Amino acid sequence: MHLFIEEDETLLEVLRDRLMLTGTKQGCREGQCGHCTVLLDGKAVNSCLTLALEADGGEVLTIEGLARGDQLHPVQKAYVDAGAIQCGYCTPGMIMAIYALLQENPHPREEEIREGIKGVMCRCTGYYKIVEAVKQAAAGGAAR
Amino acid sequence: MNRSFFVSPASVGEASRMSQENPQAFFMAGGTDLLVLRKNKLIHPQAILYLRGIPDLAEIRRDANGGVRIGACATLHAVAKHPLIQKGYPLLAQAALAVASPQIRNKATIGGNICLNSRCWFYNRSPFWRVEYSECRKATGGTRCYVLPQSHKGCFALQSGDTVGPLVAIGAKLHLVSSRGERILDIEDFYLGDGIRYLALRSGEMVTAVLLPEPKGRGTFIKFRSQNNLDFATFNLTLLPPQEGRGSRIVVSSVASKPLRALKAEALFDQGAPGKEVVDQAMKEIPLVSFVRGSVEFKKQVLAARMTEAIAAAGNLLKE
Repeated sequence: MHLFIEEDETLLEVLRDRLMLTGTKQGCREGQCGHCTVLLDGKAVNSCLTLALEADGGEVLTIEGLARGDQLHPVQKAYVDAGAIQCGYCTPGMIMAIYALLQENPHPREEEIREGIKGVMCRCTGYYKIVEAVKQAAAGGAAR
Repeated sequence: MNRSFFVSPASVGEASRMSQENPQAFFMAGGTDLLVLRKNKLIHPQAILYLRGIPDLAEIRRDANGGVRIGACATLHAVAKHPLIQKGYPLLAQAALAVASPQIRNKATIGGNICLNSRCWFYNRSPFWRVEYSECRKATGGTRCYVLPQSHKGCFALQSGDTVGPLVAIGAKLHLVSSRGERILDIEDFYLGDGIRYLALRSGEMVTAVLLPEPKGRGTFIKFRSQNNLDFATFNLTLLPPQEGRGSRIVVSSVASKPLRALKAEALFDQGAPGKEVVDQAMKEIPLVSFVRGSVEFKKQVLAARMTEAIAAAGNLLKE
């Protein structure tokens, strides 16, 4: 894909404002909330702390790229089944963090799950159902 | 002249030369510190010299002296997971893994963690928040310090990179390069002890590698923070027990503008003194003055307790 952008734009700004991929959420813009998490060349990163030019020639995966048509990705399905969505604001970032975790470690222990989702802040209740969703996704072979 | 903002030099030499030509350009590796400082208008880079396009700068390999050379652009994730680091320098792997979140560790580099700007409760804030504290010496060049109002000069912003304590304990050296040449510096000498005049980097100079000597024995690393979240440390404690009566290390970092070693306490530790004596001596030597990330009294109590545990774990030297 070819795109003309300003040199100092972040990946988050380009995704949301130029490509209209608004599934990636803007939160704190300083790497604390993780709501803008995307995968850059297979690794979870904060897109607010990534200049878009760093992704030049690389592969970016956002929440929009997970489902296949109407078919949810297994991580998304597990998230719905476990009731982990809550208010939904952290959901895209959380799902991308979980996707990256399971790619690297298909069967994480609970402490590894909690470390894996540490970079995304849920402001609703707690992380219990989110951890449950990761366990369900892992058990279902979501890493593929 | 219309200069580019984002420049990706092809070599260390080119990066140094560009930096020399444009003093308002900033080196950037992971960007996880720099882009936040820029967002908060604490720095105003006219250009970014992006270092991760330079080949080999992220390499981790064994060197000829039995040690390991870590390229400055190796990510903290790569450092934490690398077999050479996990096997030979587990405290460094642990410290790298203690930094923030997976997202940050996938971008942040070891060089960036070492050069991480000093941090303070009154400095690392939005411009809006800082309006109330407009006389901060570090943020505005003002005349006041809000951490130590009675101080007449200096800045007490904290060295905050988690990997620094273990690197000091290990005895790491830094490979520094500028357009004028290269030099090797002990990491202990890299921090000058002031939050503003903070690093021994010269104009246009960059860290290109971290050089680790041969592995030493095992020890303890504790990152203490208010919650188990992605926060910076209230203190980092790195402790290496003596081997054959020498070479112990007690390093407390993230509590001052440079990492601190308790030298007299190390000597007692080497001699096999009771743990309580070692801890009491260390607490006398480590000047805790900044309330950033916890009151001084709180830090003293928790640090002493954790140091006592670490010494006990290091060799059950505690004799009550």
